Formats: sequence, C-alpha cells, structure tokens
Amino acid sequence: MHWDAFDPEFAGDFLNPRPWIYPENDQEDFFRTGVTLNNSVSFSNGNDKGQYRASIANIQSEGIVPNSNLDKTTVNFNGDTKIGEKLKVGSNVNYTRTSGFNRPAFGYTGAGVIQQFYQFGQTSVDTDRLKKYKTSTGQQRPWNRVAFNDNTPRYSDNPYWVINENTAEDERNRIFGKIFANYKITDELSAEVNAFGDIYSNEINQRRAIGSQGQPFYSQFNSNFKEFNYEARLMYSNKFLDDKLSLDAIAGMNRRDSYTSTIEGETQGGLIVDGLYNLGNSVDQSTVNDFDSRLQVNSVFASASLGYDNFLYLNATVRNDWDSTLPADDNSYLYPSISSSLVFSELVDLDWLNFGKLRGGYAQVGNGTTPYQLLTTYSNPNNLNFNGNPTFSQPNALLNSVLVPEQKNTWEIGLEMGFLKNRISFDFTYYDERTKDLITPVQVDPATGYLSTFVNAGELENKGIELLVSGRPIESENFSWDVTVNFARNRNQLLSLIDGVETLQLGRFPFNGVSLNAVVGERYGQIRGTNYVFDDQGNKVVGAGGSYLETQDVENLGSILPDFNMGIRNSISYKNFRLSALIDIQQGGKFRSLTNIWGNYSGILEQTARGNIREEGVVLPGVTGDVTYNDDGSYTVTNTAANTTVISSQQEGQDYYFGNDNQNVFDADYVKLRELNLSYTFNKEWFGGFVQDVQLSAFGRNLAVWGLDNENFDPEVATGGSGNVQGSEGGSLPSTLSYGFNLQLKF
Amino acid sequence: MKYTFLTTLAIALFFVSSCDDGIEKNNINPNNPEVVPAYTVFNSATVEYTDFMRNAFNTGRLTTPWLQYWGQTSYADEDRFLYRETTAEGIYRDTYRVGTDLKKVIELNTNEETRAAQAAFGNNENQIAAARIMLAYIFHTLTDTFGDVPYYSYSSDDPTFQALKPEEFLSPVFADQQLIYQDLLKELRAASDQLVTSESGFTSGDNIYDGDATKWKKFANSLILRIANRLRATDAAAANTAIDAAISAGVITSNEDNAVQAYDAADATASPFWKSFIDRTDFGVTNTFINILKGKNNDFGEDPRLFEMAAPSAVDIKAVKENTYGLVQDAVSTNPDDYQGLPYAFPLTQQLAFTSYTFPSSKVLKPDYGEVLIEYAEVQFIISERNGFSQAEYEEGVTASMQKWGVDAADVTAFVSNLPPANEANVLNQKYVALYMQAHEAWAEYRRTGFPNLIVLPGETITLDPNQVEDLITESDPNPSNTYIFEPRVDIDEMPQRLRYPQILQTLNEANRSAAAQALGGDVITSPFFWDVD
Repeated sequence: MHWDAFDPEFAGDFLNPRPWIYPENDQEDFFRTGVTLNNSVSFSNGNDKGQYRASIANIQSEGIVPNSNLDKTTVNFNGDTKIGEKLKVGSNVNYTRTSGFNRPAFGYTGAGVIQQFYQFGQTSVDTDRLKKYKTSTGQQRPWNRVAFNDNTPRYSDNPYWVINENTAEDERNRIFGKIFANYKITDELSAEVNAFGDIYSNEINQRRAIGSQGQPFYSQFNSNFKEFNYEARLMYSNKFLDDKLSLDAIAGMNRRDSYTSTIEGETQGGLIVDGLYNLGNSVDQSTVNDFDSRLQVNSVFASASLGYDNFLYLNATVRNDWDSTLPADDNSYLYPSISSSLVFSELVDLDWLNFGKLRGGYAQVGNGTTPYQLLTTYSNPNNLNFNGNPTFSQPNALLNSVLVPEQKNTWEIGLEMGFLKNRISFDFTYYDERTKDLITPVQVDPATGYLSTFVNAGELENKGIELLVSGRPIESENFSWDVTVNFARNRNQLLSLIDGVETLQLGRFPFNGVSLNAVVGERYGQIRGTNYVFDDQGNKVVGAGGSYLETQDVENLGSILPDFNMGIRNSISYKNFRLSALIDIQQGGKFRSLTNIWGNYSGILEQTARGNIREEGVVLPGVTGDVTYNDDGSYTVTNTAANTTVISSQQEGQDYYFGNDNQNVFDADYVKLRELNLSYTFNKEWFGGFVQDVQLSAFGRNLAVWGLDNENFDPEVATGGSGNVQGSEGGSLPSTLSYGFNLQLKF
Repeated sequence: MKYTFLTTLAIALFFVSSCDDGIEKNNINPNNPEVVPAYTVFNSATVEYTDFMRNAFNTGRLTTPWLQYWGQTSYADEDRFLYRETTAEGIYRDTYRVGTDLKKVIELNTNEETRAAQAAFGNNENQIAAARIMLAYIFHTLTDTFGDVPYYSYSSDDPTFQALKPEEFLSPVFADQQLIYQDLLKELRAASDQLVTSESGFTSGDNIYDGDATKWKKFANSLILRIANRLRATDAAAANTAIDAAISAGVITSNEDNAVQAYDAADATASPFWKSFIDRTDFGVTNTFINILKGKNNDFGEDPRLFEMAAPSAVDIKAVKENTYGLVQDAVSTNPDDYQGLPYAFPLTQQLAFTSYTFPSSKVLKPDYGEVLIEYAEVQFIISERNGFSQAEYEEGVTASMQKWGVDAADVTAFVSNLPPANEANVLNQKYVALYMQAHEAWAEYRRTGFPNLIVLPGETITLDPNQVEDLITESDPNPSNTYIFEPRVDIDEMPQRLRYPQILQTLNEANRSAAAQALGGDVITSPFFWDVD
C-alpha cells in the first residue's frame, strides 16, 4: 500500500495496492527545463557638444525547479555635455530591479527539495503522483505520513507542497551612478568633482504554511543600504622634451559614507489564521531584530604617470585612508604603489617580433574592517524576553580594541610578446601577495568562554602564475583558426598566526567534526577530519564488526584549492560563420560531500544496491589486524590478514556517517566542455542600410564533463553560497546544461 | 595661474586637515549595549544552560536512552552508545559559554563602576553567590562528562585553573579532576556562607528561586551532598565531613525547596523537550523503565508513578501535547497493561505504530515543564547512603518523589509501606526511579555504583509486547521473533564511562588535550574517572 492509498477522495488509489518497484517518474522528472529570455536595447547619439546613451535590458528566467523564477530589469542613462568652453558636466545613472520568486533553497534543509530527493527520501515514490499534493480541503498528502490514519508528515513535506505553498519572494531596487563636473583651468590643469551614489532597498519574505511538517511561520527581512563617495581632484597633463615625455598627474581626496539598516521580523509559535502571511498573525509575540551600521573612510591620494617615447612607462601612486572602523589612535594607513613597463619591441627592429613588453610593479593596499569590531558588547539574540525579562549574554566572538590596519603587499612581474604579426603571442604574469596583520576571527578553545577572538593574526601568502598563449595556426582569406590557452596556478599558504595558535578555523562542514582550516605551513583551506586506518602496504584496516576502522585523531585530508586551472578555446572563422569551443580543466583540490553520507545511509545512491549486496551482504576490501594506538594518536598495525567478514549493505551505507570522514572527501578534478558557440554575421547589404550589423548565434554551456572522482557529484556545486566555506557539497541543485540562441542588431 | 594653484592647494590642505576629525564617532555600536544589568545576564544564562543540556540531542540522544528511561522512535544508533560528535562538542562548548556569562554577573557585582547599579536588583553578595553556585553546578556536570577539563574558579589561585580567561590563556590546560572536585566543594561552602539570607537575591531574572537567598543556600549545600557523595569510594572520611557540614548549614527539606529552572508557556521560550516535539515525535518511554514501574523484575511492586510519568500506549501524541487524555481530571487509566514501553535499542522501532508504545505523560511534555537541577528526594537518598542506607531517609526519598509527581496520598502510603527494606540495591534503584528526567545524574551514579541493576545489559535479550510483534509482520517476514538482543553499535560490552573530548580540540588546543588524554590512559569512552572505582 503506497503513500497515496489512504485518501478516500482519490478513489482510484484508495486502498489500492500497487507493486513496490522503481517508479516510472523519479526525481529527475521533478525538474523542468528552465528558460531564460534576455533582451536589451540601447540608443546613443553625440556631437561636438556632448553625447548621450540610454539602454534598457530585461532578463526573465524560469528555473529548473518548477514555480521558481527570477526577473531583472536594468535601465541606464549616461551622458555629458559641454557648457561654454571650459566646463563639462555629465552623469551616469543606473536603475535595476531584481525580483525573485521561490528561489530554490539549498543545503541540509526541508525548505529545499534536494534533501528529500538525494539524502533522505524514498526511491519508490512516483513524482507524477506527488503532483496531487493536497486534498480538496487543503490538507497535505505527504509521502511519509505518520500512520494510515494520520496524514501528518513525519519528516518531509511533499515537494510540490514545498514549492507551491511554502513560497518565498524577494525584491531589490537599486539606483547607482554618478554626477560630475570637470573644469578646464588651463590647457594642462583641470579640476573635477564627482559624487557617486549607490542606494538599494531589499525585501525578502519567507513562509511555511499551516499543514507543513515544520512549525508554520512567516518572516520578513527589510534592508536599506546607502553608500556615497564624494571626490575632488586636480589633474595635470603635459608633454616635455619635444613631446617625447608625457606626464599625467592627479591629486585628490575622497570621502566615503556607508550606511546599512536592517529590520527582520518573524512570527513565533505558529500562525493563527490559515493563509494570512503577516507578522501580526503570530500565535506568540513576533520577534523583531534591528541592526544598523555606518562607516566613514576619508582619503587623500595622488598619482603620476610618465611615458617616454611610447616605449617606457612609469606609474606611481600613493594614498592615505582614515578609517572609522579602526581605533581612533591608529586609524590611518598609507599605501603606495609603483609600476613600470618597457615596450622593448620598439627598441629593436626584428620582423618576427612585433610586440614585446616587460612590466613589473609593487603595490601596498591597506584595509580596515567592518564596523563595531572593537568592543565586545552583550547581545540579545532575536530580542526574546524570557519570563518577562530581557536576556543579554556575551557573544561568541571576543572583540579587540587594539586592532591595527591590515596590509597587503603585492609585487608582480609580467612579460607579453607577440610574434609573426601576432600569429603567436603570449602574456605571462607572476604575482606574490603577502597579507600582514590579517584582521580575522581566530577560532579558539571554547574553554576560553568564546568561540573566537578577533585579532590581527599573522601573515598569509598568495602567489602564482598566469599564462595566456594565443595563436592563429591557419589564416587565409576566408578561413582562420585561433587557439587560446590560459593557465593559472596559485599557491595560498598561511605563514604565521598569533602566538600559541597553529590553526585558523575558516568554517565547519555540517555533521561530524569536519572543519575547514588554514594551517600554518600548509596549503590554505585544509579539510580536517578522521581517516581510514592503513597498514604498511596502504590497505584499509577493518575492525571486528566488519566496518572500516577510524583514526582516533583528525588529520589534514587535503586542500580545497586546486593545483591549477586551465582553459582551451578554439575558434574557427569561415566567411561570416564563427564556431568556438571552450574546454575548462581543473586539477587538484578536494571537496567533502554531505550527500554521499546521507545518500549511502538511506540507500538512495545506486551504489547501495550494486550487485547482490542487499540480498547477500558485502565484504569490505581491506585487511583485519591488531592496531596499537600511541598516546599521540599515531598507530601501528600488525598481524594482518585479508578481510572476510560479511556485513549488511545497510551497515555499509550507515558507516558513511558513523565512520571516518575521509571516505566522503573526493578530488575536485574535472574536464568540462564549458561552451560551444556558433555565430553568423549577416551582410549588411541584405538589409539595405536599415541595419548596420546583424549577428545570430547559438550557444551551449556545460555540455559535457569528464574525469570526475565521484560520478555522482559535480565539484563545482561544492560551494555553500558565498563566504569562506567552500569545498562543501550538500544539498545544492544539480548542475545544469544550458543552450540557446542570441540575436544582436545594431542600427 | 599662480593664484589659482595656491588657492587650490589651500583648499586641499584645509580638507586634508579635517580628514581625521572625529571619524571614530561612526563606530559606536547602536545595536548592542556595553553594560547591562546583571539580572538580565543571569536570566539568560540559567535558561541557556538547561536549553542545551536537557535537550533532544544532549540528553534525549545521550543519557535518557543510556539509562533506559526513554528511547528513540527510529534511528536507535545513539541509544546503542554510538553518540554524535556534535553532542560532545555542544556540551563542552556551551557549558563554557554559559560560564562566561555567569562570570560577567560576578564582575558586574564586583567592579566599582557597576556594582552600585546592580544593588537595585538585589544584594550584591547574593547575586555573586548565586552565580558561583551555578558555576559549580555546570562545571560539575562537565567534568563528570569528560574528565579533566579546563576549569574556572572564582576564589582559587591555582595556576592550572585557566578557563574563561581569554586575555591570558587562549589554550588553557586541562585541570586535574580531583582538584576540580576539591575546588567545587570549597566554592559551594564559601558561596553558602556568602549568602545574606536576610536580604533578597535577584529581584528579577532568577527563574530558579525568584531571589530567595535561603533557598539558594539550601541548593548550595544540597549540591555539596551530591558532589561529596561521589568521593565515598576514594575518601569516605572527607565525603562524610563535607556532607555533615552541609547538612548542618541547611539542605533542601521539602519539595518546595527543589531547584527547578522554570519555563515559559510560549513555544519560543518553552522547555527543550517540548520544543523538540513541536514538529517531530522522536522519543517514547522504554519497556525497561515501564517494566520497572510495573514491578516486573523487582520487589517494589506496582509503582503508581507509572501513571504520572508515562501516558497509556493507545494515547496519541496530540492528546499528550494538548493534555486531553484524562490526566488532568484524574481519569487516566490505572491498568498497568495499558502501558507498554518502547522497545529499548530495537533496530526496527520505526516499523511500530505510535499507538503500540507509551509516550511521556503531559506532566513532562508541556511547554512550561520545569527542568529539575536537584530535588528533595535525591538529598534524602544521599543522606540514607551516608548513614549506611538507613530506612527513614529511604522512605522519605521515595515519598518525596511520589509527591512531586502528584501521586495521591493514599497510594503513596500504600507503596512506601510495601517497600523492601533499605539496602544498597533498593535505595539506589529507587534513587534511579526518582531521577527520571535527570539522566546525567543517573549516569554518574550508575558509573559510581553499578546501580540500577534493573536495566538491560549488552548481550541480554529483550522481549517485545505482542501488539508490537504484530506491527512487524510483513510479506517477507510473516513470523517475526518476539525477542531481540541488545547490541551496542560500538565495540564495548558495558555503558560508556565518559564522552571523548570534542574532535575540534585536536585542532584548537591539541597539546593540552593530548596531555589530558594521556593522564586518562587514552581519550576513549572506556576510561573511568577517579571516583569510578569498581
């Protein structure tokens, strides 16, 4: 008797047994093909007095999860005009409105559908039948009802209930732009004032309807953000030495004011009236959270650029910031930079070398932090009173009244060369960045009373190379073939931290004690967790119960950062056709998969039913042996023999949660056919001068992938939103393949 | 040109000079206060403690199943000793977070700038003493969970007490558990003496005793009884000295003096188990405990607390939560056969219908269920043990527990007069029954004494109720067995003796954790504590 056999209203299914087999429509049939429409039009005009451009763009996107969409409209005005001979005034204004409806939730939550499809679900449930997700009286029909006579969902809501009843919406309205005035004092000297503004308001509403598995609620989040920059500058431009030496110099100052104001409200204890989503419709008093912040940074800056005879350039800048987020007696930081380039191809006359440039530079950048990080204050989470009195407690982070500015020093050197009239060219860069006095929360033993302290902690190194090679192997009148290869390799390492602390915890992975760390002396972004126990030959050791043993202590299981990233683009042009293909390669790096844990635990992944293991059990490949642990967690394995213990497939599946952490860590390698693009540019004669340029193209993205460590998971979905925790897979939407066409007209 | 340049320069310099002017005024936090009244911190700290310590994870999936009071309705892995790493981490981490709030309460009442303002909300000494007593309570439970742990003491200058001092110690050492025990007793003695019983404690924000300093004194001394009693095996003389001193200073003498953390009736501020039952039904009362209350494998006979602690099997969870199954009107079934327990540590529990086993009663599953920190019954049992298991205190303990649970006076008298005589087994087994809903304490006592000897041991067989066997019948299994063996999910043959140190400490404080592990003889769940001598 399936889940849908207990509602008399659905007479055909009521008390009607069906075979317990894999359904005709499974999780894949839940998703639909998403469609995105992207349209834009722009107008521009100009004369010797001024110029003007306006554009409107609109993107309408329906996601692969049904009943979800995203709309974005952008309007832009841009223009300037001369007033008299010396004054020029201009502005650039942009308005965007972004509206989202039912953006799919991701992660380990019942608010998203991924948890019940791939982590804790039933493989016997037919997605098509799930569409009848409620009765005529509005009661939910879940696939995991508590009992034959109780339709309360035990763990998860019907996915169609989730997307149709527990909807969410968001809207953001943003205006940003600038207005400027430029006055020519003399031919060489001019003055300019600029005012930049960025203002947006954002509202996010979420709800859970009465009848859901979780407690019904409604929440509303409103935020307002304003940032203004006021800048004044003097600019000087002149040429000396027979016009061979050019000098451009700027001196100026800037004031930046930034304000944020947010209010968040949430109902408590459930909703009173069904279908009314308002903070007043709360069983218990709704909570309100109110957060404001502001900061101000004042700066002065100057820069000078020198150019000699079109082959030697020198650029120097200096800037000083005064930052309100730092302590009053140490809130000023000065940072200079200098760079130079030599176009040595101008100095020699070789017909096979048409371009050669050597460049190098050194820059310092200073940084403050976010507001209110200097003084530890009490907090009242959610402003909940208890028994009629306020509840204040110490926060998790101990703040620091003696912070100093962060400083990042970068030096960079590069070489760019083009040969045989640019039939072959390359651009190579090496960079080395050191961040000192990194302002960061450092996780500490909670026995201190806090989970982290906010300090200037140590030194972080980030260095690497970037190489771009392009060539045109074939070039003829109607046909050409271009190849571009780019390669990037980056090494990010924590060099030192504060006294007595060796590890900076960047984040936690959900479940078990797995964390993401920056460890002194190791590659940045180390996953730390327990490992298999291995014998001398590298065989995994199995314990008395037939399960793999787990180390007592945690180990570094690898960095989430890749060894290198590479892209290869091939473009072929024939007359008006152009075909291009981009292959994207990543090597190295690791990610940890939560879906691997639950998908095995609950028997959803195919590997849990491979062969006959469900009927006959499975013997884990490995050896049995005696393990002696030393006090420091290291071990020796003796007396090994091949493992012969049979365990149930259920035990094997559950061990992914109860056993070591390394079994859920995989390589993040991939080779992807990222993009394929075919375009045709029409001859303008066909349109009799009405249209200047018409281009039609067809494209496909993410068309194929090879070389995955675990075929179930795409390493690129292993990012839990923005922020420090990367390399964590768990509850993201499946990666998508997209294709479409594009028509571009110029009048 | 020259004038233009000079004017421009002058204007520029004018602006530059004001670049730094008062910019830090932007950085005054408008959202959170720097100083607050101490009672608001105390209000938060004590409820936060029971919120995490007595919740579905740190009690429900740890000690209530291990001591076989409750079991899970599915996923019985934690019941079979395979506890979650996040549980150990949560207990460790949140104890210190509450500890730092209690330390702030003391500081606000000690610092010259703030203590006068606090006096408006109660006598300063009484506020400090209440915080010290709570600190002793939380550190006692913490050390009984892990062993050696970083420790904070208000009055001691022992250099190995390094917790809660981030300005000095970011990686505190793990203090020796014996030294912690000694300091706990000293602290409680001093806090008891510090209390000014003629004046009020917290006039607001005291959800345990509402500012009654006399009751706080009784709490402190009763806690001394609990802690000192653990030393009975290693140093009986010291234990008795501390116990006798506490009794003469005044311990809890009736259920009115019980230390109970009160809760609100609204869902957001309700008791932790109520919150866990809002949208899930994860726990039931086990067959082990139900059978004990029915007198099935012991000499106590039918215990009327059965009807107060558990609901009849046929009652569904909605009726329990809404308290509509007759408990209020005293119209609940008193037929023991209507109560069948949830099979403890049974791997197929999720196949059983909710109506085939008992849920906790409405006296437990209600939003304002008060979490008991220590009660009169336990005090009486300790005094009985101190007197070599004396009869009077044993009977008084059982009586006190039954009265607390609301049993009719006539039924109390009948049950107590039929009790088998006081001896180690009977006293400690009755203590176990009285410690229902205080499973962490029951766990410590089991490790110390080996009692209750009424729970099922690993490897033993458990029998299912016939109704439950019926639920197991499927096409592929038409004749399911009515017995099963209690098999732990880890490689041990007895209850765990401790929890392992949180894994995260291997990254955050490895040197000290490692030293503590060595002193223990290994950071494993089978390493016993110094007071666990058997």
